[in-house]
Amino acid sequence: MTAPAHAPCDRPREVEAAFDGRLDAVAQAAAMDHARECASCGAHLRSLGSLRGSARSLPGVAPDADAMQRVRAAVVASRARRPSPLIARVALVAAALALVVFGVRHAHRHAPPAAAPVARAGGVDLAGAGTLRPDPGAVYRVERAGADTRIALTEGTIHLSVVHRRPQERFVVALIDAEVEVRGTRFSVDARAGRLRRVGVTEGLVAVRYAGAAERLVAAGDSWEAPAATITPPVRVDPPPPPVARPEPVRAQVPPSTASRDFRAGALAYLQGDPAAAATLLRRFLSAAPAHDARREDARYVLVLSLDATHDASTERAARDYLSEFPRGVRRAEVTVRLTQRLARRGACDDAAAVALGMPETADASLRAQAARALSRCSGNAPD
Amino acid sequence: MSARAQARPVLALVPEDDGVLLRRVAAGDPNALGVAFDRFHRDVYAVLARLRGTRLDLDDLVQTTFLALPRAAHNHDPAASARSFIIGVALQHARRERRSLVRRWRLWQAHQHEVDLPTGGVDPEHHATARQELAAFERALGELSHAHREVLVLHEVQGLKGEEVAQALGVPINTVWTRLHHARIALRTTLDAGGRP
Repeated sequence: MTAPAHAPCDRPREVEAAFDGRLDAVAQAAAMDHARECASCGAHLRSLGSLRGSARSLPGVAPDADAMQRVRAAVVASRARRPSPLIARVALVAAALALVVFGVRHAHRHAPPAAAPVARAGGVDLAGAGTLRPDPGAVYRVERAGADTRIALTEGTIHLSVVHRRPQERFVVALIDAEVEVRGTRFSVDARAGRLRRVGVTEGLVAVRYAGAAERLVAAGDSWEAPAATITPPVRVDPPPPPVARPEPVRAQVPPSTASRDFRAGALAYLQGDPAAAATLLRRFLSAAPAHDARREDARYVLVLSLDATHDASTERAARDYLSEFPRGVRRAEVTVRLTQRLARRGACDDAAAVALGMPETADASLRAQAARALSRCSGNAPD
Repeated sequence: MSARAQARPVLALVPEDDGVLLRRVAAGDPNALGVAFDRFHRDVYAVLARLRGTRLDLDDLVQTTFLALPRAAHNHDPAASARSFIIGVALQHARRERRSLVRRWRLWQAHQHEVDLPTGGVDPEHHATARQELAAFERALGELSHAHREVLVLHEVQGLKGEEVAQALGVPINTVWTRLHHARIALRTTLDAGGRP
């Protein structure tokens, strides 16, 4: 500082250090006592305070909120990963952990009422649940009850593209002798006289349980057909459209590998309510399947669900493995929630918060709420 | 339950700890980057505005800072302040910009008083005086060397602690105090020569 018009003193640096809080308590007090007695250092201290006062009084420099929102969007977008075609394909597969349930014991309970044709041509928007494209002559009725969608199919073929359904949302195609339930997939259902004839899966994975037969998974590109004896002869007059030439999938002609059997059996075990067996089979599949196997994401996801269902201590490890192997996985939000909940349950609040931070921007609000509740409970602040 | 736990937001989906946040940024998490932006962009903007004296291209510099953050965040010491670290990243880019484009300096000179001062108040005469004093202070600040202006802006204007300033500037703490001492002398000299605020 410029020398004030006072008797010179050799302690201005000490006073300045005290002003900046650099000294310990004793030295601080001594320097301040000196400043009170020394005119030169007292003036120096006041000058320092004046400068700081002016500095802290400067008007705030606030950015334009709209401009910063644009900048923020650009910054975040630059880091947001775009799903690659492979990821998109895997996403479709993973989103189609579908159930096709042919339950004899439910046959009559879910028998549709008398056929009431409501649409015969063109695509039909299922109000957010997906789209339905009927072949000419198809007879069906769409019923909605809350978040549930039920399609009573009486005759013909319908092609469905179902968006991923949340656990509490059901999407069911009902027939006299069957019920087809999906979580999200693309498939077609063919019926004659109200009875199921064929299910063709375009995207996803479908488990088929048929009266008296073992359950079977049908992968994308594969199909399931009812045994000939149960097929009622077609009754409709309209000829079906010309069949689209489609080569038989090669994999249908090749005996499934051990890994494939493990995957199918593991998924099936989970669907049948045996998560412990599912975990064993899926782990075996994962240890054998190559890194590029498109089923690995499904396997890792179902493994997390299976372990979580049995309160297995390795659930966290499995969840982290999923997030690590599939950082852009379509099940990332669900896995993130599971992991957050488990971490929060055992009191690892910071870890839980760090995991929850990885929630995808596109995550469903209900999943975000689940994670938030877990964190709140972890911190002891349960929401009202 | 501790007071800290009670203070934690009920719907906190982001870590309170800035170190954890920067680790997520370093891992490439766009959500974490967004949170970091929300938390620190005002500090970055204010520091850059004070140092550059103009808002011209400031949005771009803020954007550049946060675009560079995921890579830079790998070098963050969890024990150190995240705010000063991010400000340090901004300063690096500001220096690069300043070095590479001489015209930026001219722009700074042309716009150094662009920052708006407060207006209005219950005592127009008092506020008129205060405005004059602050304007003089801003002018004196603008006449300091860049190194002196940096420490003054970070410590006195933005309120960063000495250690945080050292981290942001990448210099030893004693260098900060030395620069601050000389910056104060230079600032006081300029103010006294031009009329004490």
